[in-house]
Amino acid sequence: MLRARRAVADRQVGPGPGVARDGHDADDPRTWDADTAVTVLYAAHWRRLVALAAEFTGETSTAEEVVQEAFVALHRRWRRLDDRASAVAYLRQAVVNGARDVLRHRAVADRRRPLPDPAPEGPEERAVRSAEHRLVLAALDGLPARQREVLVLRYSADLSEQDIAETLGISRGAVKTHAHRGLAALRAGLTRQEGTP
Amino acid sequence: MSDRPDPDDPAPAGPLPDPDTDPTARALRDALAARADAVQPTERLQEIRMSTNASRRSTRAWAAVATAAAVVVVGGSAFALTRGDGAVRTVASASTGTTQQGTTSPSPAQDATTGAPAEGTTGATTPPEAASTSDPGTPAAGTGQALPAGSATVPVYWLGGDPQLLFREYVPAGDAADDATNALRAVLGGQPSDPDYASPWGPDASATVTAGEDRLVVDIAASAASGDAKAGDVTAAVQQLVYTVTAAAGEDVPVEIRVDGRSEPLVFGYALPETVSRAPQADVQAPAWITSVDTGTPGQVVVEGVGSAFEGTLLYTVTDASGAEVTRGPAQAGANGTFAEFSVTIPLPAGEYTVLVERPDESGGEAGAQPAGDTKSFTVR
Repeated sequence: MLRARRAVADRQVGPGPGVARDGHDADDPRTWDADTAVTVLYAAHWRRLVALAAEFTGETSTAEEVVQEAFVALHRRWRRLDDRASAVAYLRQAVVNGARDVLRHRAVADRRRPLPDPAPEGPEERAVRSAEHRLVLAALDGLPARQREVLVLRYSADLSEQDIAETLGISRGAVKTHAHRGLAALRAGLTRQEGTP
Repeated sequence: MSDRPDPDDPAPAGPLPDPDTDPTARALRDALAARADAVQPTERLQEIRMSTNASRRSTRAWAAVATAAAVVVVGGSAFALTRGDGAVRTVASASTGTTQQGTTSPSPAQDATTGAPAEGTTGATTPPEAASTSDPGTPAAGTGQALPAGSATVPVYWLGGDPQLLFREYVPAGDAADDATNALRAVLGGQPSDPDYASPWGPDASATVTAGEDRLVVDIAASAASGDAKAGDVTAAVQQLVYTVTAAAGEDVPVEIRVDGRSEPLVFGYALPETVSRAPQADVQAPAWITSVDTGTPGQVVVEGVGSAFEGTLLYTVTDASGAEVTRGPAQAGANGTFAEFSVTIPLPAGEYTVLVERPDESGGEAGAQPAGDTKSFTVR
């Protein structure tokens, strides 16, 4: 019985960028085959994409599944991808779509729930323990889904208005409106909190 | 989707607030960054490969592209060396452009070795070609998958401190057919770059690693595992070997150690079970490794490494040539048994220094055996 093999990949890049043995240029996505693309993009973006997906799904394990699917989809599509230089945008779009699919399948009541309680002294608690961060994130998690999505894509994934519009399939005007409404709600929430003894 | 705003949207507002000027946007950006930093996903590259490889049998393609990316996985938790959007270039410069790493410039000749293993060096070595065609009937060695090959440097674990814990360096690969065999020979050769590291193993230039069905098989000569050692040190030494070959092979599978061809051998006078697996990282790995000390910018040093501590906070201490403490501070790594990268930039006037990174003593001096920190010496221009 084959035991599940876990990647150890305790490995290091050899001679640095340049043309590798199998003829691809490590810096030029146009020369990559699908396997290389997945490997390189995984190394650079896996963690960040999981974090992005987790903003949508509320927890990490579903987020990992969503991002894994996005990489598999990228691999499948690689030869037909028009603009390989924008592979990251493709991944991000697939992640957002996948995460929203997950949410659609969840009960509406669940949709806006905050992140589950982290394990005691977990890294998450460590990072989120700052009181201000907690306030902001709680307010964010209470916003309508579309506002929250726009704010996450703008202020976490650092996308432009145009990219957010394309990712979510809405107009740039709608992106602005959702962002301003969301921020206004956060601002009001934070001010109210600060005024409370 | 529609190009028009949602029906209930008013006219478009101005541009999105810039976090550098809008306090709410800044607070939101910082809070989101903190939450994203806290996400420690497990590695799924293997699963992705399995999905994308479903129609293909060979794993050789992956061995060939393995050098294209620098995913450093330490046991169960994994960290891409790459930060931000800087893809492979960042990794390469970070790992080869700095001092004190135990890595020397890779030789271009190493690049040509994949697919053309040096036949005849050892009969037991399985060339990648042979390994990809399954060979039913023969036991263990030779029936498994091809081992990765062609890396310019390979990971090697050394022992340090008391109790002995594992430290990792990358060393130039030798001329064996695969990375795991190169790493094994390097660990047996016992030449760590850091004088604080050591290895009880004796040299064996013809030792081999082969991939079995469900394990890696290590073949070494009895002379490499002779001599006396305490039981605890033997356990550490066996883990040193197991961590090294599994790291270089890129797979966390049990390791069968054979001495002079015999299974369940005596190693330093102690009997081994048929296979040994990686012990939990938190049990055997040193709490802090310094993997890079970069003095490329005058007036400062950038110390990078991997570590784990309570709440993730390691302590660094810089001393000058006379041994006097110059400065100290925290370095944020992994918490609760997870290992994560740390990086600190320390401004220093020109001079010679030693930096120590260690897990702070939480016991208030009660417990005797504080795990060893890692030290490196460097010169600031």
